[in-house]
Amino acid sequence: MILGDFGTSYTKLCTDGDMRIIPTVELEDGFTADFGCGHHARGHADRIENELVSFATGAKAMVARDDFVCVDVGSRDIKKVTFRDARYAGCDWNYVCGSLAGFTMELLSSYYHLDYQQIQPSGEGLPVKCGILGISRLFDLVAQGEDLPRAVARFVKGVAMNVYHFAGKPQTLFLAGGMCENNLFVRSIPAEVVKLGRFVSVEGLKILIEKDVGHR
Amino acid sequence: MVGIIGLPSRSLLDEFRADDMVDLDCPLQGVLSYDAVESRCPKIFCAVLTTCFTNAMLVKPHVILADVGPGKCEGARYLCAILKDLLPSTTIITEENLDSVRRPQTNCECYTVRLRERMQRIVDRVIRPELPDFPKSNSSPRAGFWGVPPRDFAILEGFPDQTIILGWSRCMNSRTPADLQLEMYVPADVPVVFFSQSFCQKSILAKALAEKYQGLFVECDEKVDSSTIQKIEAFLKLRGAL
Repeated sequence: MILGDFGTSYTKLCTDGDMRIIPTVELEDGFTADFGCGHHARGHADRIENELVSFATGAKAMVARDDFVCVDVGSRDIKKVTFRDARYAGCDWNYVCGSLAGFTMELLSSYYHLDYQQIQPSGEGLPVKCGILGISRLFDLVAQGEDLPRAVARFVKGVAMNVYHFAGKPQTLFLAGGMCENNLFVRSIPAEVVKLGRFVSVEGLKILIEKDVGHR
Repeated sequence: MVGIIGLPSRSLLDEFRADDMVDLDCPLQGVLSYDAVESRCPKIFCAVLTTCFTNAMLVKPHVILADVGPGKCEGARYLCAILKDLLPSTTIITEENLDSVRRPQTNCECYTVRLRERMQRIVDRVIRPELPDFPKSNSSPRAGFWGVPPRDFAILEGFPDQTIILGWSRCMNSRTPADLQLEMYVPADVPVVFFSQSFCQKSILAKALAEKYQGLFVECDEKVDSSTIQKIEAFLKLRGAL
């Protein structure tokens, strides 16, 4: 049984319990999962689940609280799911104003050969409406003589504040997706951050397919 | 040909019943181009009013009946002022429809007919009031759709048949378009999608009511995109409506 979360940049796979992550562009031609979700699931999965449903189902299973908000910061978009009294209370999906934030951060680190683990968080953020507008502001700062790591820290702070506000400014923010591995981003969020990792949606797929089998 | 904008009063519509009528708020077959209004209509503008504008310029009705009061919007008032200037051969009759006697909203609570079909019936009844209402169901709704009839009816496809119609569409069905109390009615314990056309003043109602009733706020411009469809599907699935 192969389960796959086919994201814009990375695909998270669970093959008979074995978890791995590969760049989506490196997926073999004709690769097909039994059950999948994500932006690139079409053509790569026999059955497709709505990506917000798989994400919310995984988050509910991984967080032992009745009230919480979980945010998945992806390459292309930001997803949020909220639970109140152990009941699903709402979801949101920012694929316009928050778009490309994750992708842009990865692009920046490659372009400038940056190690996000080594950069100190900034108290002051850049207004980052989206990745493209944000990177333009960052280049302006660098051109004005700002130290590169400090400028990047301000960019990341801007993205982190967007995510924090998108989440509804919680005291504790449950974070999913590739940004869990970016310490600069995590430390730039002004809340307690609990990292759930990159397989939240895959965990959701596991539960949903088990339920489905149980119903048959 | 008589063109209709918004929902004029019954008495005004009745004066023109013998004429052919066309609802200018709805996309008309064969009218696909905004070229007719491009030089005068900003890109960032309500898609429904842009549709009214385009249709009026291309169809050139001999009379336009328009509600420009609280049952429609200021945008319609401005649009009619512009049309008076651009269509000198058209008689433009504006009014503030304050009809307050509600008719039964059975189309909104018939759960054996698809949501899209019921919404279409509500819209069609503006110019064809002889069309029968769908019967009210005795069962409870599983979901709700709040808002105006959308520019793109594709947004209605993913809802279960057991979806109650709320908001201004309900007022339209009731033929009381300025009935704010009815527009703000939301039943308890029903997962409701609060829809607004982009750039519409009603978006503040949609957003605030979504927060109050733990619903989902969505806004769309001309065409609904797949991400919005997925967001609605997830909301309905996770709240047990699908």
